[in-house]
Amino acid sequence: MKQNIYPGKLIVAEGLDGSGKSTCFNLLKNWLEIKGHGVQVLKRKQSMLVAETINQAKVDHTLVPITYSLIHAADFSDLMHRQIIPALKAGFIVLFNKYVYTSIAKDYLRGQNKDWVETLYDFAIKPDLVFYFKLPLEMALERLTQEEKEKDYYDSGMDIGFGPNNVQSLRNFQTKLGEQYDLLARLNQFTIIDASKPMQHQLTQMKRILETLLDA
Amino acid sequence: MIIRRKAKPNTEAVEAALLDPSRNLHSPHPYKGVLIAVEGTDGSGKSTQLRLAKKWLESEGYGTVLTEWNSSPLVSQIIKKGKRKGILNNTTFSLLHATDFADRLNKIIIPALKNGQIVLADRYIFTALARDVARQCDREWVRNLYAFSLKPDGVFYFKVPVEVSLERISTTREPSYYEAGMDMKLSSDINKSYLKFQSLVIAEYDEMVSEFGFDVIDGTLPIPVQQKQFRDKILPLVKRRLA
Repeated sequence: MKQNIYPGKLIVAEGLDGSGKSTCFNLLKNWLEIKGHGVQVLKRKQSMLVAETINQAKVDHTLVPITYSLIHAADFSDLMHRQIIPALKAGFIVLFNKYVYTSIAKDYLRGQNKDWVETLYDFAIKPDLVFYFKLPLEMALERLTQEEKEKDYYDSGMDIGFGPNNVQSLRNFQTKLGEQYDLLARLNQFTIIDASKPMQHQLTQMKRILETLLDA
Repeated sequence: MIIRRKAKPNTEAVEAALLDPSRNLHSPHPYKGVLIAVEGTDGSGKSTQLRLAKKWLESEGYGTVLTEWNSSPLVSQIIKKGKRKGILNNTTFSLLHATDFADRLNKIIIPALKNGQIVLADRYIFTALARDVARQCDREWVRNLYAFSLKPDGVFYFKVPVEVSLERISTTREPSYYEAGMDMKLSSDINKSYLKFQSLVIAEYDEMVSEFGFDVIDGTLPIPVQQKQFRDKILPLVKRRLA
């Protein structure tokens, strides 16, 4: 990955769905703006060029693992070059919810070679900070199954046969995904946030770390 | 955004797309059919030659499938839109073309090869390897990107000088923005930019002749003469697999 050579900062949250990442990021955005920083919150599949096609293809089930992988990389590249880099150049703090580490983990679970995927995402900018929202698996699964909206065919790993039905597949897929996050966290020195603690506790920890980064 | 509802899993395609170590760029593909690719700049005559060869193969009783670069229903529209608006960064350009190719590989090329048909590819991954590198994507990065593809039984490179290429396309149209590499800011004049950019593309093709074992056909020769050379080289490839 490329070093961030721009005045802005790139802050990333990784972790299983239901670990509280987006809630925390929205609160952090507020706090940073009150302190006078320009903030942009972004996530994957938000590119102006490709996102809509991915959403349609996921409904149609027309993606196989290799096209799933490549079209997400194309989406991310469009975001990187037309939104992230311009924001960093302009001095914004970019809060990115689920970055390329999620893509790498998911592609690997879809059967792609890990070196291949890591090289694929070489064009990404290395974040200044990665918060890993770590949650005991049972708690994450419980939160997920309480969600109103059922996970789709791909998000539950049904396309690669992680289980006979949506619920079972989702459990297996998320379990594997959690293992991959743990591994990535060790290899890339993620800052671990205990997502089972009350939100206020997590925010205090994150604010302290961010203040150090921004004052440096 | 309007999302059409349709949900039917395509398990066979999924199976085909999972990594198979026997599939890579440098060893022969494991299928029964024959994969022939043509490469070269615009105006090199490769599409004309490929279509003539298709007629001939069909008249000899072979089943053929023609597949063109950037024609998948999945992403070709996005690529066209991105090109029209001039908003494609070189990495995005590269990844979208790789997605297009991967989609056609799994939905058209592999199924046809499994059926024992002759797949005729009008441009193959070498187009991306030449163009993306000319656009300053890293050479090794692009080769890694296409590591999932299949090695063709034959790659025919129709070589013409860059001036001939420009002269031939100019009889019907002006070069397009990306064909001319206008995104690279090589020149504000579209024809001058085309000559500069396509010279870089040709230099990449020339490098790949030995790397991937292309057969080079002189695209300035009379059409029937090229066709004869092309057929003479295709025939043993076809006989080897479909005897």
